[in-house]
Amino acid sequence: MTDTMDFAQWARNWEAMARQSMSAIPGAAVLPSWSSQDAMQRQWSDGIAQWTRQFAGGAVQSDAIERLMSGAQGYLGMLQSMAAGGGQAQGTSMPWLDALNGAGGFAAASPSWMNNPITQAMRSFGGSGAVGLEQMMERMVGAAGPVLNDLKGVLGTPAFGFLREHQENAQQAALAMIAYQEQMARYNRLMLKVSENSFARFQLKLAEREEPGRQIDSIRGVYDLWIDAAEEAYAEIALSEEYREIYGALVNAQMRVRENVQREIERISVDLGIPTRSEINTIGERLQALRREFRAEREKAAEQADLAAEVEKLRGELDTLKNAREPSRPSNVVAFARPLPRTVPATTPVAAKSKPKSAKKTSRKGSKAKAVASKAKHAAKASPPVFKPDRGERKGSSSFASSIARFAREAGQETGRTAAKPLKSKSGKR
Amino acid sequence: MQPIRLDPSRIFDEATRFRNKLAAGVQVLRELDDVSYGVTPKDEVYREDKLVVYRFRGDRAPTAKTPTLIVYALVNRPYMVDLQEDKSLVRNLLAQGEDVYLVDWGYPDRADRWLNLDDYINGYLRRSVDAVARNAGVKKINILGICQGGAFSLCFTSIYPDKVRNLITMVTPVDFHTPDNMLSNWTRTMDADLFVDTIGNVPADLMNMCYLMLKPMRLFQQKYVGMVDILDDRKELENFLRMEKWIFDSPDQAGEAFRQFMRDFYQGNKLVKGGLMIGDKAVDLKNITMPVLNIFAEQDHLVPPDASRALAGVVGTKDYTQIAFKGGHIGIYVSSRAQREVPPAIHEWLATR
Repeated sequence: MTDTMDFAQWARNWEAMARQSMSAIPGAAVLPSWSSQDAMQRQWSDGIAQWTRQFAGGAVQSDAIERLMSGAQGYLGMLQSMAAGGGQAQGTSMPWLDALNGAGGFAAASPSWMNNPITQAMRSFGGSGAVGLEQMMERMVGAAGPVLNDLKGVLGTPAFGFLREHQENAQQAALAMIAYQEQMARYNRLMLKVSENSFARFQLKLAEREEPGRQIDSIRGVYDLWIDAAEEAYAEIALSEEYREIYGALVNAQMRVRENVQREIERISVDLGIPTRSEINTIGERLQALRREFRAEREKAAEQADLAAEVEKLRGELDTLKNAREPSRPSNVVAFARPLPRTVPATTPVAAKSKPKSAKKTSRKGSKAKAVASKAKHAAKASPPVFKPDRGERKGSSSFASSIARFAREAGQETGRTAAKPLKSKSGKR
Repeated sequence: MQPIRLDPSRIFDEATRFRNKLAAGVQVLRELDDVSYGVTPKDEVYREDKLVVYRFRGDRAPTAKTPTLIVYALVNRPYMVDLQEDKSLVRNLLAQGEDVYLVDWGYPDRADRWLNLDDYINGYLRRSVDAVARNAGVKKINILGICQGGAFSLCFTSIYPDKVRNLITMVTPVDFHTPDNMLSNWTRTMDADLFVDTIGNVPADLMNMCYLMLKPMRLFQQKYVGMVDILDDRKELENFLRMEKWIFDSPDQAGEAFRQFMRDFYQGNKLVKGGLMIGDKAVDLKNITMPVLNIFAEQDHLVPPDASRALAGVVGTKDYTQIAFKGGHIGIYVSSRAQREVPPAIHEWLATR
């Protein structure tokens, strides 16, 4: 028989069960027997299982199907409880509600609360130290559960002798495990409180619906109200300081267990000559520090290259400016043609190329110099200034920088403001 | 009067309808391919390690002169802002004429465990911003930070105000100690150092479990009961599964960055209280003097509205605008209301600045 046929059969059975449930209602005295309720529950559960199997092995959204099925259980549970109970509220006693709450209360209906799924998820991680954690916990709970207090006393005794370190580690690991179990028990007690509060809230919400016009007329409506009540009760606890303290203690306790397990694995790994997580971490941390340093240095170099490129550009602009201002310079005047000693790294041209277009466009110094050049050009056309570079500069009595400064002063006088700052020689020798 | 009035035939109808939906779902689910997402064409403009910066291409050239860089959280994948054709913040911003870029942080692995917030903010994010500015030929850009990415954007803008023209934050936590912040309540007594030293990178499954546990009954159960309702609707089912994909397609968190985020933001609340250092740079939100638009969701269970509203009191700008969106943390990107309201609001705000 194929799964599809099974599913069809299940659907027929479900319908039959639903009819049977309904047929029990008119008299309101005869509810389906417990045995038939059990049968109904089995049918529905089997049906869901059959339905889920339709997708077994398929690649299509199997995760979503799994979540759907897991999530729908609460609703199905309510559906079958209410169907079995005929959906009738009889006085203050509602059989379906009792049934729902009776089987462990809301906590049972919402297993997602218990044992803190977050810490369960942590236990199952494949990260360092996870190997063996689950098994160790199970063994520990099984073996130590009944004699925890005595065991704690024994584990607290001082270690000594050649193997004292190993003994102490083992004691710490065992104590951490016990502490974790204790914290988990505290957490679950808190969740039971949520469960109780949920039920109380649900009843209050039902009472509110007793007003005419506010009654609920579908199982889905009841289900949604149940969810609202549960969420409110949960939120109240989850936002409390008590939860904060217990949750933090639980996570910290689990981390200590994990830390102990890791330490033990590392010890064994070292004995066997296997690289450990700590060693890899050390390498990783150092590597990242080096990468940071490297990037910082590279950025510093790029900034210097940018500055050098800007200086080159300014130099070119000054040349242009000078040429524009000197219409009949004697051929033997070379003061402005002499380049500065080269201090720019060999990579300058590449860096200059890589300089952002935006920076080039918006270089304030560059645009100032251009403005000066333009004004100087106009001024030259109007009345060519008499500018005689000091030929003696070449012989060292005056510097290239001072020539520029003088030129800048003159240009400033001409345009009525300071045109450009003179370049300063770093060494002061020129 | 009884609070519940159930007609027996109604129970039967409900049960039958549920069964029929499941039966129809068999066929629909079998025919569905894996869902696709990220619909808007994009070009890579910068890459470094696992980070990539993209520029989106709209149907027409952008009219905005200043580009906008979307900085998403580390804890989820950024394609939430471009989930599908009719649910895309990116697409709608492009349609308004904005020039949209996005930082995709990638999936850190254990080799990235030592990445800290200095690496993320002073490193990756700063270089991404520079790359976008260079690509657009401007000195300053707009930043749109989302959730944790919003907190990063605040830090960045405070440290490098000369690189940011306008700052937009969406569902961004600023005050981490509001009484309705469940995540914050849970982390306050956790030993952040012990946690990260022991676990290293924080696995995505753990992060997801934390988010689900914020509303366990709704997110573990009720949501999937609702899924049965749409099992026979191919389009709706595809949308549902696309969201599922996004929710559970989460990157692991680099351990050091997580340690600092938990310690300084969740536990220390230093964005508000002060004293936050990112690397060797101090974060002072008073340095944020450019225009700020802060958008938050009124029904946000991850970042309570008050956690976002706090921004008004701590930034230095005199040009502060706040928009309260009627919806939740996810709805602010994917709901039809969000498509109608959020991108135009962002565009209009930017256009006047």
